[in-house]
Amino acid sequence: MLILPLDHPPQRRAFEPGLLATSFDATAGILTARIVSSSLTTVEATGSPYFVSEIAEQISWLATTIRSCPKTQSSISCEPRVEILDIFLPNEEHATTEVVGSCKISFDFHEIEDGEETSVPGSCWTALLPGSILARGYPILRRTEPNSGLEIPLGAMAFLIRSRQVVKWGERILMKAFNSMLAVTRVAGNVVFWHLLSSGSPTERISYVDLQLDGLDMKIPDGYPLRALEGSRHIIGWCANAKEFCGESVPILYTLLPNSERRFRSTYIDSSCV
Amino acid sequence: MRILAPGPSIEHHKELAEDKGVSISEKDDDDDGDDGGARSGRQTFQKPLDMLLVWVDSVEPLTRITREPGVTQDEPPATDPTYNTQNQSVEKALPRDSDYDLFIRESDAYQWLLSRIRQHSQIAYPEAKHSMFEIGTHLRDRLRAQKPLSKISRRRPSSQVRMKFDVNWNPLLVINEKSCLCPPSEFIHKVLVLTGSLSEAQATTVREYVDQTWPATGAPILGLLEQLISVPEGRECSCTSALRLLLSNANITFRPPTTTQSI
Repeated sequence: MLILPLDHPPQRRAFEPGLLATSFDATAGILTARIVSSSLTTVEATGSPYFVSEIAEQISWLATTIRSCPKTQSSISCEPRVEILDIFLPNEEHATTEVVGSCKISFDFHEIEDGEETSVPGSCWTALLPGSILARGYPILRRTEPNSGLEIPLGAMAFLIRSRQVVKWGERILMKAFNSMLAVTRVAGNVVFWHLLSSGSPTERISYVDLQLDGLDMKIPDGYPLRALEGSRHIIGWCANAKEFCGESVPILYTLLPNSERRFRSTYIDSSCV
Repeated sequence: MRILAPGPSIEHHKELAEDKGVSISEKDDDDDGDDGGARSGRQTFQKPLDMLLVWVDSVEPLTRITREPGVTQDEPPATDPTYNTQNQSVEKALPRDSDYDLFIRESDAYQWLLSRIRQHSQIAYPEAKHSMFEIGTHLRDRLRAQKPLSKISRRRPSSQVRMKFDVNWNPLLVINEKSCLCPPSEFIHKVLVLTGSLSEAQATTVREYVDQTWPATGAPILGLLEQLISVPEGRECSCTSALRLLLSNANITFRPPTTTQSI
């Protein structure tokens, strides 16, 4: 888990619960909970079968994500499952209107091994978030391109690489920190795809004209405004196995010849962008 | 998939069903709950697949919903797919049992179905493992197999479920670990968590994910979590779901659930 440096709650762009709630007026429902011991929490839900089943889904997700990762340098994935489910009628003879049950939720953990992240397309983002827990088996916002990486708010992305500024450098859009830099590789609709570059050493500065940028196939619409980043979805899908072009023949398009049209234009990220 | 929800017209379904030799009744089930007797010879009406697909396609996407002033509760919900323009002429031409129709449309089962259909276009599983679907389906299937929950009737209140969940989890351990950086009251807004798969993941705050995945029932669990991490260990906290839609003249506002703490 990552604590965001927010001064106020984040903006919600993709969903507005006030609108969605019209689709399911889940009225009657009561929840109680108690932390019983250092490793056991009980939650009791009373309501319709649909309310109770969604509560089961929610509790399972919360208990999967809100827990500490025992590893500090690597990450862990976790999947919840129903281990025990008992249901009975307290007073069967009188066709009672209440059904009672108990359910035990368990979790399966899987350590993400070194190198595993580089073998799965779009998964190199795990190096950005060591010591994190990934809840598997749960849906995420639908996207047009599968296996494209980690969707993350713009502000959180900036926080992770310790940067607060997005710069337009010629046709490139960059977010640079001391030894790492994010570059927009593609804009598809309202989705912005980023590629993470690193100097390779925490003490070595990375440049706005780093040669790694020349190997990227950037597809950014002409005149794409920086302000458009605020209302977009952002996906980091960098790959540690990207081909190194240093020392190889570089297409003339990406030489470092000065371009008179290149100008710095920048925008700053504040907490409301997260 | 079997569906008993009202389609473009109940009467229309009835005609179709009779054509196929299947009977369908709009009358209430007997209160004795006996599946035999009055219900003998009746079969569940199953929508033809092509009709079902048309109906699913007609479910409106998630858009802002407005209502005109003076709309009464008896009128069909503006979001109901069966009231699309293309069906309105059919609706007017055929007789309807409005009470039965409204009863079905307002039922938890029907509203839950609409909610899930709408969700389908918004969220997706990034890999073959569908834990959430398995957990929810497992519980619903087992619960609906219980006699009091196997059918609904206008003549009696809906049966309730009381389920106790035991979870090998202690959220306070995490909160205490992170408390120097994030007070409990801000936890759901500030903590970023990961969901998905290695190749396709999403980082969200707790609140964002709950809102996008369970838009209708997520508020109570967030209220409960906020209390759970704020009260001392061993004490009980509770949250009554009071999700109500407050319909103003043109806009829909959302009132969060009221929460009460009981010791």
